[in-house]
Amino acid sequence: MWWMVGLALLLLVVHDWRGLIAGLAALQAALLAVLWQAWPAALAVTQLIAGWLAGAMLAIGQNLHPTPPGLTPPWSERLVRLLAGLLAVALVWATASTLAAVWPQVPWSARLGGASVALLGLIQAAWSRHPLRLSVGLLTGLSGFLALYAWQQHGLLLTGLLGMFQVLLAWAGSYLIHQTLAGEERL
Amino acid sequence: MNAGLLWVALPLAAAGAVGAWPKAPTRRKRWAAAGVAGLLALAAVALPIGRPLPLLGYRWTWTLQAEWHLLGRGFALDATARPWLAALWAWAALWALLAAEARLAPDFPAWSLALPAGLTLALAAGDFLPAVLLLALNLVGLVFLWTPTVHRPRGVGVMRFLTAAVAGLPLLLLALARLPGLETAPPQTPEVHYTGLLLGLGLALWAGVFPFHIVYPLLGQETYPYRLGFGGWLTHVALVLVVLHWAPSVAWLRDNPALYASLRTLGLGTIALAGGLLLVQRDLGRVVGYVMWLSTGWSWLALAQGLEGGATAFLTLAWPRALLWLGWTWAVSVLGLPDARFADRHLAGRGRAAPWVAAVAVLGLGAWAPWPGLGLGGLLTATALPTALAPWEWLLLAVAFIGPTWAAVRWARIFYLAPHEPTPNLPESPRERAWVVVVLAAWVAVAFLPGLWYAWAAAARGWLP
Repeated sequence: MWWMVGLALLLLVVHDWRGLIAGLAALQAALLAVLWQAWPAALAVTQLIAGWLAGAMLAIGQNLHPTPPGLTPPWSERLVRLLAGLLAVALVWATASTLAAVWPQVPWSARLGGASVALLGLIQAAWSRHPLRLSVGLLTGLSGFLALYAWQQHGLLLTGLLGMFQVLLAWAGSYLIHQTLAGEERL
Repeated sequence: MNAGLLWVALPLAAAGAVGAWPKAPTRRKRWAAAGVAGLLALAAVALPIGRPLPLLGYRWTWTLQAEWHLLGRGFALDATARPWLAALWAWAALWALLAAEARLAPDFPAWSLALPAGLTLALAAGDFLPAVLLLALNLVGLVFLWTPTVHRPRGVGVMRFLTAAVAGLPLLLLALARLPGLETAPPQTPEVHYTGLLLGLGLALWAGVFPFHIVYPLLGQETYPYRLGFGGWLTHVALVLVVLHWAPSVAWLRDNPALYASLRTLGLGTIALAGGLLLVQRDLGRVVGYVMWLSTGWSWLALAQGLEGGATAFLTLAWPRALLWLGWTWAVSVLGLPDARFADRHLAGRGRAAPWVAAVAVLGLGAWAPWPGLGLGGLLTATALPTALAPWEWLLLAVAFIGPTWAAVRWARIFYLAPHEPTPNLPESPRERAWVVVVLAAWVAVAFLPGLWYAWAAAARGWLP
């Protein structure tokens, strides 16, 4: 579980789009290890495939345009992002007793780790104006949510629709990348 | 054959075919889309669901099955669903029909079939959980419909909308996971408090409730108004219907006066704030966004009457508001031609080249004010405000009246009296004038035949528990 938190923190500071996609793929693999304990193996693997497919779609969308996600941010900005991420993790730890009261059936590592990753993903999404970072942030947040939610419910339709949701989200992100970068190139 | 094949699979297949139709312009594609959607609306009116239909002199019968299963979950569209099915597909047909007049790209007719099909599946879901997941898929699908054109490449509004749509889903799913066993619990317990908080936050994100309303003006500024009106309106109706279908099973939602009092305050606050903000907008696209927010305020006000009366009031407003959205966003889109620019400096003097279309744009904006006893406003006031109002509520209602009215006057001055001529200044065509007559006739019917909408609302109410 703590691998997921570390990877989500790393995704906050990584700039290169290849690094973002590789980090997202690693995060999905770490999520598989969590889901393996809560869901039947077939459903957990389905989620991994959906997550990797989503990452691949984003990579294809970004690779169609040579433009990088933006100007290289200064180290100070990355440091602020990292500090904000660490603060979010600390905030989740500070509310551990409330989270335990809300989700008593979820193991404490999944509860704290899942909530941390979900919050880190949301920070990543809210902080970015680029569709790739936004999509990676939203997919990261969904991974954290799944680590938390997997202990509460599972089912064939649920897994299928959640997988479809992630793929459609990545497709929409890829479409936004294309539209944004194509527009910028024409301008 | 089951109802899912007819109202979900068939339009999705047709959307794929229309979308993949190579090199066909919007003018040709819209006939295909409007034809399919119109036939589905007619089927909802005429075909019996779940009863045998005699064929060829009663020797053979054909039955449209109401229920079907998908990956272990049940879905159903029984005879009680026919009124809203007919309305949903009739709206889709009308929106597809006017798409060419609004000069939309050829992808729109396919979306006018795909989006209602997805929403139909969400409404057919037996449980709230699959309905929520299917609604989430539809919300993400709206990104493709709303992604800005080359003139507005930033996409910040669409990205913020996507963030809200994705952030709302986990909150709703976590609330639903906590719900078993809490359906009949008293509202004051901590379990109900946490569950209600998750549920309320999730729905607020999806419905654009204050402070998440900020996506509306951003979307209005970036997205073509006709596309925003179509996607926004249909999704709003489907979301409210899904919640109304499920909410009566939860006692602390069904019998909770504090909840309805909050909805009433929220509704009045929304129409007053959105109405007031209309006064200071210099971009007609942002005006469309704020009107979309104002429109949701009328929904909350209608629903504040409780599950029984609120559902009927909401449904009574559904048809008039659909026609208003359709005609008004069409007129606004035509005024923004040829390069989809909606700032006041681009639209100054536009009404002198297109006086009829500009008149629809002005009247449509003014109609969102709660005019007493006149037009759509009268209907809004009659259905959404049946009980006595406190003095401060009258004050909010006055702001909601002044905002759209004065905004309509201001934009009329920009269209007709501004000294600058827009470049290039496209004159309106005889075809557009003909559509203006059709739109105005539909609005007059709304104003003077309220019994028609009440009758439909009463029939559609039968689908809700």
